[in-house]
Amino acid sequence: MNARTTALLLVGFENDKYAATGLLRGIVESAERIDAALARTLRFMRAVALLPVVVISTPIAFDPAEASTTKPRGILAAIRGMGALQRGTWGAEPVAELAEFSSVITTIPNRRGFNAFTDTGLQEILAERGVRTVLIAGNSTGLCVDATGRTAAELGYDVTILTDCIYGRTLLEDRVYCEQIFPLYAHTATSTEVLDLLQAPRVD
Amino acid sequence: MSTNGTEHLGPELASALASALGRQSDLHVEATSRLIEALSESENKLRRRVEFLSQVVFELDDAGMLEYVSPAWQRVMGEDPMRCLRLPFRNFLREGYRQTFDDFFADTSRTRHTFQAKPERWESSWAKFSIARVPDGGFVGAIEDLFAEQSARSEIEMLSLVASATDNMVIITDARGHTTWVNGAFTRRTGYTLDDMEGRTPGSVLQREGTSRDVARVLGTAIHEHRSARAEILNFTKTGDPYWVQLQITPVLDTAGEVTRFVSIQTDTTERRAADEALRARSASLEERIAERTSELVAARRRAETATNSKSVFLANMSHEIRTPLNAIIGLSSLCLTTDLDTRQRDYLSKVERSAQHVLRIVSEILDMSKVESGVMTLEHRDFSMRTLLEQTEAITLHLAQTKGIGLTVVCDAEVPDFVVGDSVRLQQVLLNLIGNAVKFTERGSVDVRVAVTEREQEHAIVQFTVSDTGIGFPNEMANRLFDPFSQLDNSPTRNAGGTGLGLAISKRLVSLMGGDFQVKSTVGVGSTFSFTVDLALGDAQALMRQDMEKRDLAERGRTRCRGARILVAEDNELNQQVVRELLESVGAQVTIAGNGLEALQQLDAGHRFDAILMDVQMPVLDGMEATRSIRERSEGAAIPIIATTANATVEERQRCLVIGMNDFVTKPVDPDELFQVLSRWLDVHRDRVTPEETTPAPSAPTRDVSTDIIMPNLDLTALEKIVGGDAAKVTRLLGVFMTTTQKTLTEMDVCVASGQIPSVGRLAHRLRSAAATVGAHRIARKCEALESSIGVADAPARTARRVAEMHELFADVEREVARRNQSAELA
Repeated sequence: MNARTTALLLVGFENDKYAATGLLRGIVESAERIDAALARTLRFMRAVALLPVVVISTPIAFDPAEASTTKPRGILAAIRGMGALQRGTWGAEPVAELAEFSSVITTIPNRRGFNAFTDTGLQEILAERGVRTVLIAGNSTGLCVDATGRTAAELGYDVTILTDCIYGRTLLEDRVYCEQIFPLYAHTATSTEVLDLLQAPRVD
Repeated sequence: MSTNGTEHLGPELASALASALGRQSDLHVEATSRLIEALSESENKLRRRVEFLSQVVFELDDAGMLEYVSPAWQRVMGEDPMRCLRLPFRNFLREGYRQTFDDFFADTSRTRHTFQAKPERWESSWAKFSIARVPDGGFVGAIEDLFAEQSARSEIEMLSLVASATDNMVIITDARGHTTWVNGAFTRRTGYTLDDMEGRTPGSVLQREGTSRDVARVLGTAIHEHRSARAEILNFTKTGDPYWVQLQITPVLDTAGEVTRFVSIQTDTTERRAADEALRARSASLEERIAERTSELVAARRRAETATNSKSVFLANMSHEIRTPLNAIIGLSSLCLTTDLDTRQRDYLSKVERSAQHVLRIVSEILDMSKVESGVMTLEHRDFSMRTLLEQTEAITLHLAQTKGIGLTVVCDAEVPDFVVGDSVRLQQVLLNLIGNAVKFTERGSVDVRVAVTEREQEHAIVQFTVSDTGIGFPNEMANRLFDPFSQLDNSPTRNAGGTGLGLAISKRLVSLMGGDFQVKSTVGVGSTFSFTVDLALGDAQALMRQDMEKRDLAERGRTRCRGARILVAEDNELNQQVVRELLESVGAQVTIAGNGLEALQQLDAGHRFDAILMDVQMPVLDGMEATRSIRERSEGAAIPIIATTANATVEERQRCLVIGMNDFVTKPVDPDELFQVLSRWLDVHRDRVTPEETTPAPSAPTRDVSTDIIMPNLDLTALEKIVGGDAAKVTRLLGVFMTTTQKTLTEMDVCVASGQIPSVGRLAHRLRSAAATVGAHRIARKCEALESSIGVADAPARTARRVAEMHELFADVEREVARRNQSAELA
């Protein structure tokens, strides 16, 4: 794996999802998985920060006064209904642990749906940086991670889902996606395995 | 690697395509997610049902390995369900019952099988196993615990036997407690027949005023809650006579575990209670007297124990406090006396040294006395030469006698065996005491010492020592008081001769320890004769010579070994530091001083290496015991010889030192020969092992950092490799030690977190930190630091738990890196 043409996409690292008092933490089964996934993501980033990998964060936030045409529906509407991820609130801010990487991360702030490619300009940034390989960490497994991963694959990127750096609402969700759905369009690997590939001596 | 298929589109078009694709996919994504949610809910529902069952539900794969077991597995099979997964199902059946499962497993034409067997873990319980073959592969099954059913059935059998054969009263009721049957013994004792009782609760018939309401209520509740109960209660017969019964009520269960009836077995205790009552009345006054006396005795014993303890502690402390500065005074004076001095300075200094020696002697006597009194004084059994001992004793005391202008003769009979076995130091102590006293109380004439044999057998001899003087003497009634501790002849003109008044008391006890007697004769104005005997085993002249040579050789070897040796001296007293430094540097050792245990640890943490550590036991901040414990917990400290130096020279202290992990022991004030003898033992062993200049590297030994080929973000072995001179095998070994100890520490942390002992986590983190820093696991070290600092804060428990969890993660990473590194090292 060539670190120079690789991007790490951080999908949805907001306080409401990762912090101990985040609003969405309560709906996650075995919530200690969140801390473990975050710890592994941070560890991975510390190693990646030493390599020429592009790191992009795509937080999601809802505007309080949105035009009715762009108002979220379905699951997104339910999340907004809980008062979670409101733009300008603590819940929508990036989780504090990411601060140590502020000089490394490029943040794309205006995501409003599951998909990090929808109306965010992500594709332009990836093209500009010459990215060919996309690594995805974040949550939730079956929504934002899957939506972003599928589109990345459809756009022709070589996609790898970091299976130990993501979490979904249920254990079943994580299992089904990692075993059945992600392999339809992407590689699945742990952060340690990917780190081995990134650090391996390479013949260009 | 695939290429980006949208590159040819240009940025704007590509972005538009991305957004369009994105919007399109969102709906599909949400649909899939909802399906998964429905599936989750359905699986949860199913799981709840299975997990609620009292039967075990299990699933096996094609190979007969457990794929799933429901929580009831723990209760029925006696094993933790999580530990059983992926293990062969047959292993959980007792040996004799495995074949029936194996037969079914092998015969693919059979789809179902039900059998009874005993689980491997339970001694007597039976279980019913039902297994079905799944057409797609694998098996599902259920296990039903037959224990409850069996025990109920056997209980009924037992009760029927008891009911018909016993003299005890038996009542059987239905599940609501209404009587359905009584036995003959019941009717005989109470006068009530089954007709009287049937359909009524026993309590409503048998209990009247005088029956304890509390006991009745306890029984009623037990029946109501379908539990068994035991009680003693006052009942009344049909004619109104009171009687006491001890009763046991047992619920009888049907196969479904439901209560169908109760059986109550009752023993008449009326007579026993009457007898007890009488006995109680009789013994009450006696008990009171005994209790009174006992409490007096307990109080007296406590007072005595407290007094003894405080005395021992006081003596030990005093001994320490005085001997430590004395060590410095004597050591420095004698060092100073070896330098260029003018006559006056030399004279002053000699006096200083002599006075200090005197004080030391007094302290030693006090310590000896306390040892003898507390029974911890032990005598040595070594070969020594009697004549050499007498010569030395004479040489020491002759100067005293000559100064006073009196004569001193020492005569040893020819029959006295020369080579004997015993404690020469203690024997000389007694002799010096007697001769010293004799000289002290004699103004003219002489002191004569005579040694003779009074009894000689093949293997031992009783030797008598007599010290006579022509001194002032004392009246006979004084003779016994002389041996009391602290007694002195207060009216004596020589009272100012000094002394503790302990010398004779100690001597008498020492002689008694050596199997001998003391005798005193004295006439005022004429003189005194003190004599004592000791029982000595006969020794071997060659052994003695060998022993002497060995000692000298050892000390000499110690001096040689010290050349170039790096010795860490942990000692809080600056003067003592200087003394030991001079001693060691005089033979070419490199000395590093640490002012307390903590500083000693810091020296090791800073990567300094030592061939031996001289460790003072009592130090501020961190004492020698604690310091040793910490050093021994470190991988780099496991092998360093640690030699205790202490002025607190008790047997217990020596044992404590060895138990805590020290290797040897030197008493302060430090005797150079003794110190070098001890060092010779330990420097020898140690330097052969790790000193680089003495290690001949094997030609093929890798001196290169084996880990440079691998990127290890969590482990920086540079420092460790430097310490072991690039020896990859040593690095592997040290890493092994680190991994084992860290694993242990992490487990301890988990336990502390689980039990809320947050400060202990801090201490463990402290311990782990330096070890982690040593092997270059800097992230773990930093995490430890963070952990230590978060102990005191308000949300410590939650924060600590999180940090410990992170520590596990970090450790798992280090573990992987160590494994990879070891693999490469092996290949190299």
